[in-house]
Amino acid sequence: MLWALVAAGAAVRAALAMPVDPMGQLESEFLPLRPYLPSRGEVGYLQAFENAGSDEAVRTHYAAQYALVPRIVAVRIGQEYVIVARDAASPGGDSRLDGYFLLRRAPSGHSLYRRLAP
Amino acid sequence: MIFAFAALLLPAVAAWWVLRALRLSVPGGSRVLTAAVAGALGVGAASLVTFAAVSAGVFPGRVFVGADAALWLGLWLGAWLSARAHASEAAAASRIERTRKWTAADWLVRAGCIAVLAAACAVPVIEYLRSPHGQWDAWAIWNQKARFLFRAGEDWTASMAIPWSQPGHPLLVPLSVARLWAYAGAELTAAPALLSGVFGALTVATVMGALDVSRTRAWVAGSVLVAPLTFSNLVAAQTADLPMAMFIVASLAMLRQDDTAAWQQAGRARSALLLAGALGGLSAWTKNEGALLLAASGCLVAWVVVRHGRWQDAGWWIGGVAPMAAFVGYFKLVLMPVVPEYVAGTTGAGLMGQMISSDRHAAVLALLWPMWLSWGGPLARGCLPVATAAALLLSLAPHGRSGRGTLAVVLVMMAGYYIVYLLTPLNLSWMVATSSERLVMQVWPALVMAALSVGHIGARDAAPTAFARGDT
Repeated sequence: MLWALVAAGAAVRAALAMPVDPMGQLESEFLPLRPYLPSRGEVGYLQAFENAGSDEAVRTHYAAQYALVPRIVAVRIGQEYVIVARDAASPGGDSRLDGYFLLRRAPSGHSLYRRLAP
Repeated sequence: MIFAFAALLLPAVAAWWVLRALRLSVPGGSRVLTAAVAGALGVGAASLVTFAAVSAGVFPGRVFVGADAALWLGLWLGAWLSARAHASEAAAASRIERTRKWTAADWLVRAGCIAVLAAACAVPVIEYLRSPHGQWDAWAIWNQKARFLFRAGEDWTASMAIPWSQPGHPLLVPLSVARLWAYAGAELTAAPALLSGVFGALTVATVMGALDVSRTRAWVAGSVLVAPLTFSNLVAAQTADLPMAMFIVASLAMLRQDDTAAWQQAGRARSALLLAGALGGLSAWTKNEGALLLAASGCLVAWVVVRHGRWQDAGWWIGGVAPMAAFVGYFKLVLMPVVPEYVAGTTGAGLMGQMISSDRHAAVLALLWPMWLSWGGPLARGCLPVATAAALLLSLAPHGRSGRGTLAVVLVMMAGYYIVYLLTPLNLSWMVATSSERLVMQVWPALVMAALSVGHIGARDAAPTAFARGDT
């Protein structure tokens, strides 16, 4: 019992030391783009031009998906709408976005691009 | 939020009265255990109704909420009226009083347990304030699926296109969360946190109720169960592993061999096996690992019925599993026919090669051994080997009979997880690092129950009476 008391106390202490999870903040950053997207279907997502596999980049992509359900936020280009996360496009113009125009930029820096009419 | 709470309460209370109306009682007749089982069955049954509503295109919305509430209220009322017929008999029996007085040590253990439980309750509250959307798997998998169900209704299957959302896992948790949101009328982050907290409470109640809360060992078990940070952290996680742990321990609690004479009674065997099957089936409706529980506990059921010469009673267990198996089968074969990524792409020859590869075994053990020793969190390291050793030693003693079956199923499940690690084509280090702690957590309550399953003195005579009278 003594062990259980000590361990439970240590658990409370460990919980108090845990950092704040950024998901709430990350999700809210994508919400301003939602009104400009179709209600269903697939939306493109521009992979970060560097460190695409980092935890931060993956978490940002997952946050976009979490925020924009029931749309599917897929890491590819070619769809009518493409989300470009803050700092995902290479500086000075990203050739992957050729044929797209900026539709909306959220205060967080995330952007929504739409394909130019063929 | 009050409506979300009502959404949980309605099916749980209905399930309580249905158990009484059908004269289905848990082994030992504990009211605490009965309440836990009713709560679990209520959540599970409500998720099945929600699934039907989603498939019929009437979810979410006021029509669904009204019809769902009417269904559970009607069931509650019908079962209550039916149960009243034999209420007087049960009330007379429940007046049996206990004569044993608690010692100072008993009081001390109970007070200590309450303090440990209070601390364990504080952890999910603290974590919720820091992570209202839950841990990574919650927002990447479970709550995200709930959003698909809540926002897209019958078009939720679009979520299959998201590879990291584990589309092959069944839907009990997402459906339950989406149902709470439907009642609340909004996507409250408190709803999945509430569901997770309820499953935590049900798990504790199951272990303590199964071990008989009038006995001090049940309070020791409650303390040991919740003391590690890993447990309270999982309550805060909002994932499906805690519901899995609940269904595993509840199903195994129904199959405990605390009194062999009681198992000779048709009523006892029918109740225990039917409830064990239903709870095991709900575990398969929660996560893929539930199939492993069904395979392992199915062997235990076979052993129990053969041992007691009542092989025909196995039909009750199968009858309990069958409804959930039908839903899981429809989900797996029709809606989401995907192979889990952790076993995808492995062929017969490759499987055999990895199974007999000493290098592979060494690699898996090298990763699991440190986790095994350190599992539990701060100041709880070593609790897993200690609990396992205690359960093993107790199972060898004559009065440890009641925990043997539970321990056997736990060990088979752990062996199953080990084999998946041997065979997985995924990066082994990543796989072990991201899953092993949670998988152990799934069987931790059952292990604690097995480690403290000391047989009653004179249980052979007392248990049938206790079972019939329906109290603790």
